[in-house]
Amino acid sequence: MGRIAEALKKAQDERSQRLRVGGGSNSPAIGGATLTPDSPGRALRREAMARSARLGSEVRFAAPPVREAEAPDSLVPRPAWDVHPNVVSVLDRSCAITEQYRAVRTWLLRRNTTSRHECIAITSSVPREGKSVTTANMAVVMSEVRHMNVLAMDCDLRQGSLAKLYKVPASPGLADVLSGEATLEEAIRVTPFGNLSYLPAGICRERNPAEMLNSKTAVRVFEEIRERFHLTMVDTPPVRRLSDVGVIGALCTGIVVVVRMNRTASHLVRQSLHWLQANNLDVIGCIAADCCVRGARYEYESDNAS
Amino acid sequence: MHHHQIDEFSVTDFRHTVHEVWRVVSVRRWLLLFPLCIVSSVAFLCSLWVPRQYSATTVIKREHDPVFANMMKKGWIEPYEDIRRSLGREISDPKFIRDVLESEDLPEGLTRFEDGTLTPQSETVLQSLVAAVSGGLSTRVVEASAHRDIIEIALVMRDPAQMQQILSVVRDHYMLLARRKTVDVLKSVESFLQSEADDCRQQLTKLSNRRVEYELKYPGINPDVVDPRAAERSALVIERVDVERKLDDLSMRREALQTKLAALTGAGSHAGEDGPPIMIEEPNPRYGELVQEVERLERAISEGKTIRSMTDEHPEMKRNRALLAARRDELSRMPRTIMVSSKVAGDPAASSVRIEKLKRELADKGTALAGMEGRLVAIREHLGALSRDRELAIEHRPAYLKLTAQTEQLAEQLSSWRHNIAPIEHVLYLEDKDRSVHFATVQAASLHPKPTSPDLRLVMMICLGIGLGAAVLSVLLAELIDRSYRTVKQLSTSLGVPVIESIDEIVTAAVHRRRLLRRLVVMPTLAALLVAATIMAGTMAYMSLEHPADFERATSSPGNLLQLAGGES
Repeated sequence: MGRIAEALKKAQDERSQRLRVGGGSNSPAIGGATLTPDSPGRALRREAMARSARLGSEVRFAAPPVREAEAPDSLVPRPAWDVHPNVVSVLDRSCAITEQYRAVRTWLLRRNTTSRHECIAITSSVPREGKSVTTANMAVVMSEVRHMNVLAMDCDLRQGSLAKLYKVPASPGLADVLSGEATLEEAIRVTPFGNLSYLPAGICRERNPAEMLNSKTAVRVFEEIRERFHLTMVDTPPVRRLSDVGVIGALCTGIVVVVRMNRTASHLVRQSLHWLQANNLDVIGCIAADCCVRGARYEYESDNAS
Repeated sequence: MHHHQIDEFSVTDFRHTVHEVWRVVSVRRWLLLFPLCIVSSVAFLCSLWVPRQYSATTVIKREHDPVFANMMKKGWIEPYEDIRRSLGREISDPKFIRDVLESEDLPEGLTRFEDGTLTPQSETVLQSLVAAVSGGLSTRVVEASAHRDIIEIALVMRDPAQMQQILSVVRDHYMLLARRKTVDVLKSVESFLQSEADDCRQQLTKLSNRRVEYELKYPGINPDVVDPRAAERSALVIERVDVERKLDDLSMRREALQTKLAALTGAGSHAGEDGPPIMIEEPNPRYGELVQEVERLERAISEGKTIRSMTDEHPEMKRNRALLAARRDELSRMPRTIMVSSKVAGDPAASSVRIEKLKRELADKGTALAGMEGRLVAIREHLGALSRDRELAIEHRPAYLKLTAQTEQLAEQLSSWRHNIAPIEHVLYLEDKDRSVHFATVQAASLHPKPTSPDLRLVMMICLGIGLGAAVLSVLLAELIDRSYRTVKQLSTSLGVPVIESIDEIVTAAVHRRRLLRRLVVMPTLAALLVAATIMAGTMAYMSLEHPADFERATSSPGNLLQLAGGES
């Protein structure tokens, strides 16, 4: 923790120094995103705007080119991005919670010894346990590894909430792709963080979401996604309520279960886990969300306030 | 930081337990406070409907009368201790209480038939009141000494309306009852004592008669009384000695007279013949004179010592003593008789006269001697009779003495009876004059303004205890029901999959504001309202128990209640 704190302090000092060199003021926001004049994300921003103009939509990003970054760098300044306050890893990259997400990232990266393209489903036993927040934040911290193309994918076709967290339109999305109303290129948007893309849930109008996910189209879409992105973080519906997870999990390389501490009943979590394992799904681990550690929260709040 | 959280349970069990308790209390503080306030308030309000018990007391004084105090150990039919012990039983006797209430026409409003019997409803009311009074009456000895008892009579009932009046009449009737009972006991004791005294007196009379018979039959049998015949016997003995002495003297004189007569008679017959004179022995006159002189002097010396208080140095005493010594000396040398010659004694004529005279004297002496001898015989016979009577008296004296002892014992017993009867008569006299000193009301019947039951502290403790118990129970239930994971350790051991990381709670500004609002405004306000409600309910319970009159007045108007609660708090 001491090293991390020193690194954070150093990064903050460098950032403030750069801000002073660049005029010390933020650029005007476009679509909620704020970029510094010399930041690497500015070019990405321009490219995104051009793609958006081509698509004729509000903010539509095409799939980004695979960048060849050398190593994960959480200290490199990133363009500002107006997201939901729960996406802590965007708003405050140096807070303890972001560090905790980075610890998850480290664990996942070390697990992947074969360098294959991973597709990890984030699920939980009951709703409102923090799946979407975890998916959103995990995708952001994963994108801090420059050489990785990361996709945040919302597979909760019923109540997808990633769009709200990233503050982008929910359509077109996966449902539109699966129903053939849009192409995958049209559905995937590039975020201000160039190597992070986003596939919203879309609007499921006619067919049952489970049927749509259980189709060959879905398999093809997942295959294509895995080919194009190094890591895909998939937000899924809860296990206890819907059977979508069984389908989605089969299309993914692993499942991470989010457990909300002091809230979710333990037997529900155990039943969900047993159900997943009974369906031959690879549950690679779980994340304990909403742990009450006052220090981290205060640190975050103080940083946020400043 | 998260590592610290994972390893935080590597402490001792005690620390773990304390930490868990503190965590539960701090996390569920509102769950602890709210049931405490709500349940306590409800309990306080419910306590208002708990039946109140009011009490009224009165104090009476019961003097130990001297009769009972003295007779405690004599096994009378009902000693004073029994009366005192039976006080509580007698005063709470339902029959006694019913009689009292009916005599005082209590409770008011009873309806009766024409024949005076109570209607069924009134009978029920009266019976319930009798049961309540009988069950609520109790006695307590405040002070018990050898001289008096101070007894507190307490009545505990739910309805304070007529308690004071009921207690007063019960007390007065009990005092009358106890006084009557005491009088009965006294009369019984008096009759007993009187009968014992009469028996004793009769036995004493019989023994006295027997003693008199003994004394009459055997004079001198009583050793404590002077024998009336002792003087007679002594006089007879003295008289016998005197008679014997006189008899000897007369015999001697008679012999002397016979000798003298014989000498005179022989001289007369030989008057003409010259022959030697016959010597006649005659008393020496000088000797008689000296004897009289000595006796006179001895009497004078004795009188001078005793009557005239003269000392031996007194001149007169000296002179008398010297004269007495001289006379005694002369008397010792003086012969009693002198020898006189018959020739010198006289002529023949004179001799015949003297012979005649001597004969007469001799005859007189003979007569006197005979009389003396007769008297001596009579005296000896009388003395013999007296001696026989005395022997009989001595022989019967033990029986007489035993009789005397019995008589004295009975007399003492009779005196004791009379000694006991006297104060009883005095007490009975006072009772007849209604001036009894046995019972007195020391403190009039007074109704305590506060209910005695339920106890205020008990109510407070129970209500708060119930609230606290409910609070603890709700926390325990919440802890039992809450099956969520508390720690990462639980999670990792329970699921069997690795826990990748524990993510802290993300608190956004809006959530933070909501929490601040909830923590600083909503919950404290709610808690303050509940605490205020609890205090209000507790104040009402307190007022209803400590100041029931004010509480009644206040409950009649809510404004008064608030004002009163504000003033009390």
